[in-house]
Amino acid sequence: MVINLCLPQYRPRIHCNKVCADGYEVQNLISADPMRKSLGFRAEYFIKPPVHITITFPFNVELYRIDIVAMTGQHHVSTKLEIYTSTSSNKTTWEEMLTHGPDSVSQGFSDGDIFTLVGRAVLKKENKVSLVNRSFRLRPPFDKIVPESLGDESLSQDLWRKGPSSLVNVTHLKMCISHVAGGIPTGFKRFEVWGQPARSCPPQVLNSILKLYCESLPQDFKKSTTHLAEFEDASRSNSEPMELVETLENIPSDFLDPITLELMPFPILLPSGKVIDQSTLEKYNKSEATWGRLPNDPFTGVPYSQNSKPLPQASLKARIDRFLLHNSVLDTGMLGRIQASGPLVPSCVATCSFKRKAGCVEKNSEAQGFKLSAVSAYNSVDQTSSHHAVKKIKIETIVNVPQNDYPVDSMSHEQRLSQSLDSALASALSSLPSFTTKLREKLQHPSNLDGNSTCDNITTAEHNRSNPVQGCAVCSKAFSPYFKAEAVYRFPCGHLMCRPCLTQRQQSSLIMCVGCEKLFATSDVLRVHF
Amino acid sequence: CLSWKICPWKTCQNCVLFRLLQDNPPYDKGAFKIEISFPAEYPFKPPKITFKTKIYHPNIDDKGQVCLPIINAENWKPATKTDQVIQALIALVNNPEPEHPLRADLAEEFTRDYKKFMKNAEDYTKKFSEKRPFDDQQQQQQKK
Repeated sequence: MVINLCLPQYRPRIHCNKVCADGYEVQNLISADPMRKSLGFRAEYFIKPPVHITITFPFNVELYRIDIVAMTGQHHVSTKLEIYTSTSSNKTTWEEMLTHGPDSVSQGFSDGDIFTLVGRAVLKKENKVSLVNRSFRLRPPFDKIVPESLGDESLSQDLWRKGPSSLVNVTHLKMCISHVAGGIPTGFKRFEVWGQPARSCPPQVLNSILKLYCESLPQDFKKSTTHLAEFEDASRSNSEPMELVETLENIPSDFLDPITLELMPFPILLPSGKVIDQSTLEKYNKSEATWGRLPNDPFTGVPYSQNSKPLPQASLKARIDRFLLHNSVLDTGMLGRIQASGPLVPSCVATCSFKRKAGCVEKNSEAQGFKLSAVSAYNSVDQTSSHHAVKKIKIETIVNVPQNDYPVDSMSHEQRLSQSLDSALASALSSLPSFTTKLREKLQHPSNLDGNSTCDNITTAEHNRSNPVQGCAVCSKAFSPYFKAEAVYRFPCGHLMCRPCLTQRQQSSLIMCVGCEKLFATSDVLRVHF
Repeated sequence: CLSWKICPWKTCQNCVLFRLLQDNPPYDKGAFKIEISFPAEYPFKPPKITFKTKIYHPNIDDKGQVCLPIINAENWKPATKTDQVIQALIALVNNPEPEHPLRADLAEEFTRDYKKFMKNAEDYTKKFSEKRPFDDQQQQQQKK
């Protein structure tokens, strides 16, 4: 239903800021009397533009179209129009209007209201114009009738959407006749505003508008629309459960797991193209494992391979989380990642992160043994759900936690893994009498011994393994976590060099390590951070 | 081709009761009550189908148990829809599989003497099955 909001039953108020000609009052435009209505509005002959005409609606409206018919045109006549809208909060309510009548309130708007320009039209040859809101959407129960257009001769213009409520939540509509040329009096014959109540209207208001609308219809039309009123009543009586149902119905179907039909806290894309939740996948993998089968796609039954495996759908997850945040009716427990309780089944997420780390390993030619072990762990996660692999992942996560505050950012995964193993070994062996490690420690980085005994164990373990020389190979500067002045670079052979020495020695794309006198490509020399 | 109707009869906590109505012999003289029960772990465990009405069929035993591969625990896929299960059930009732029988005597009769099987099945249906709903009876009479 798109209603003509200027009809008197919808109680609009109209106001003109200039004197009107006798018999051509601005109220004619919204009059119920057809005689008065046909006369239209005209300002007094001495009035010059601009003339402001403001219509105030008793409820907020969503504009669809504004039809304006100017005075019967002659040649060399032009009228410039501007349309403004405004939303105000302190207005007379619809109920007040019904009980007290329109006379109790004279002027609907105050000077404080801010008007937004939403449309402009110039009438020259044509004397009719319709300004249309292109983004207007009909919505139930107002989805039946679309008004007839003014005819072929009319000019059509768009209404501009400026800001969130400029067209959809309008209280006041101001029309400004900014310019009139051709010596005719300012004014126009017909003025109609088509639209529907705004979304913010309370249901009681909607209901009474609907009743008024039905009353104004011809008899035969009434029947078909009575069910609209019924619908309205029904929806009002049980509004609260309806709200919840509505929200639930509003969940986009692609947010639901096709197997459990529940919202997916962690969507995973399967090789078959379907998206299911991680928990569903884990349950499925578990039940498949009881039959001794490899993890496979629940829809096709095809086992996963190197190239086809389940992948997390980060973008969908973002959309679901956003949806959940905006619809707080739902269980808040759904938000975020649900930590799997009980035995952890290797998920594809773990697999993916493992793959990335394995990729890091491959780049690094230094630790062959670790590369092998990491890759094999990755394979075993990939192909079977053996607990061996699970434990590996667990170890890795546990190990990473205490070391995060220790600045070893640039180190790859296998270094940290080995480091943690070394530190564990060192702590296990520390009770035993040992003199060699202490000695080596003293020899290799004497600077470490003065102050930082806290991370001594770890640094020692790490340095023992990968960095045989703990200082610049050229200038013999010692490096420590407290040594921040210069960037430190490491050769693939394990020797370190500070930046000044390195730049001195670099001639071409090859560079020679001073420690072992081997040539390396500059791309292989990596910056290290302590 | 054979046509079957399935109409929900009653729903209890975890199971749905259906009436199976067939328009072609030998099961067209009555209605068969079928119960589909869904375990708590559904859809990760398959639903169970039992015939609550006795039926003369080589793949359905005296207790009403059906041997349906699609809902076999080993073959079950959580992505299988219930209507697929019902379609499979209808297909099995229409086309008995005497190669995998639950009642060997009926399977033998089905393969050796099809006419006798049909006659027995019809008599059995008349004797044990439920009455078809009234409106459905009328429809059948109109057809005749």
